[in-house]
Amino acid sequence: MAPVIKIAGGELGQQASELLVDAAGPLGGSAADIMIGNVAFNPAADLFEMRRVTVGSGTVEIQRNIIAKRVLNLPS
Amino acid sequence: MDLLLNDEQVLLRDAAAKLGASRGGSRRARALRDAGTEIDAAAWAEIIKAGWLSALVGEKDDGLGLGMFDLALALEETGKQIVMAPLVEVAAAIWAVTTATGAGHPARARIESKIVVPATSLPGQRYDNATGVILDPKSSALSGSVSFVPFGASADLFLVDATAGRETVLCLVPLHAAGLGISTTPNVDGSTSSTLTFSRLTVAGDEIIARSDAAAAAVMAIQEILVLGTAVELLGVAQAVLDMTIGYTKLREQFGIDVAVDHAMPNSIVHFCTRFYLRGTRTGAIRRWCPRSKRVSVRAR
Repeated sequence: MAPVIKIAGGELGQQASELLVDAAGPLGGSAADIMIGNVAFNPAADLFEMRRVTVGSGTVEIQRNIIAKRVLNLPS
Repeated sequence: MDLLLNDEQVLLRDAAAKLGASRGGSRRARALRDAGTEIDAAAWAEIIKAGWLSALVGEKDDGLGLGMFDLALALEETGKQIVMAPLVEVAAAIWAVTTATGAGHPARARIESKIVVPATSLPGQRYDNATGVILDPKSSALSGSVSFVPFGASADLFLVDATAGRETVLCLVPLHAAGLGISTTPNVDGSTSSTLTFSRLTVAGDEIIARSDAAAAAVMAIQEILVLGTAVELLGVAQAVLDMTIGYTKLREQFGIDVAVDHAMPNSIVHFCTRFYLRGTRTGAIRRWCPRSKRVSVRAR
């Protein structure tokens, strides 16, 4: 189950961060924080942070290999 | 031999690629970004020397007499190497000023050898709460603000559109004009985004280069040039990233095995390639669709 959560969570996080950058329009690439009310927020920093979640602790490709071999019993 | 390009276009593309190779690259771009420099002075000097800034201007007005397609060839190559220079911005502004004014108009001399960038916005495309820029017809004074202006920290002049009653006015505003405030924030890629604030800034008569429908048409055309130019620059960036990824995939080993042989990597690479080429072809179609010499009937009244 862990590889499935890892793949789904990572890709979902990346898609959400990309959506935030899109939604921020021309502020999406800003290196400075955006203030929404009293909350400081930086869509670009979030986007960069989310890049690593499909790489760290085993890439999603490795996770897919694990699912292929251990769950689906596909040959190596 | 390139079946799509003539000899002149091949030369233009190759010259831009050469400039990118000598004055570009991610390492150079990062160094400029970290130094807070938004324009690469050496690359900019070469771009001026090459004459690409007047690519869209007709030969009768001392331009190169080319079109958006030709400018796009240079932009794609400079985009590949992330050359930090306002090529499309200044080319669009020079085109607008030259097209909107007659041969003896002082605005033409004022923009010569200057970094002039568009500070324009289309109706309904604002991303802020600002009211826009208003020109008081009686006092000829600008008030208001415009956001997200590129290269605002380095520009010598701004090409600003304002509302004067019911008509649109396009005017030049020098950097050191009394009543001009500039607030600049950095972007993650090393570029900047500036907000220009006008506080009863007086505009001289010869700084107004177009009015009414002519000004509105010029603003629309500037936007088209900027959007297309930026798309082509990004196409270059995407091509460079794809080439880098393919190159690295051929070298990378994991657990003693080439990743290009035994992992899902080849499938992913091919997936990205097909998506890229489909989108690249669409952008190519747009570039070819652009008229060779884009002309809009713009004349100052």
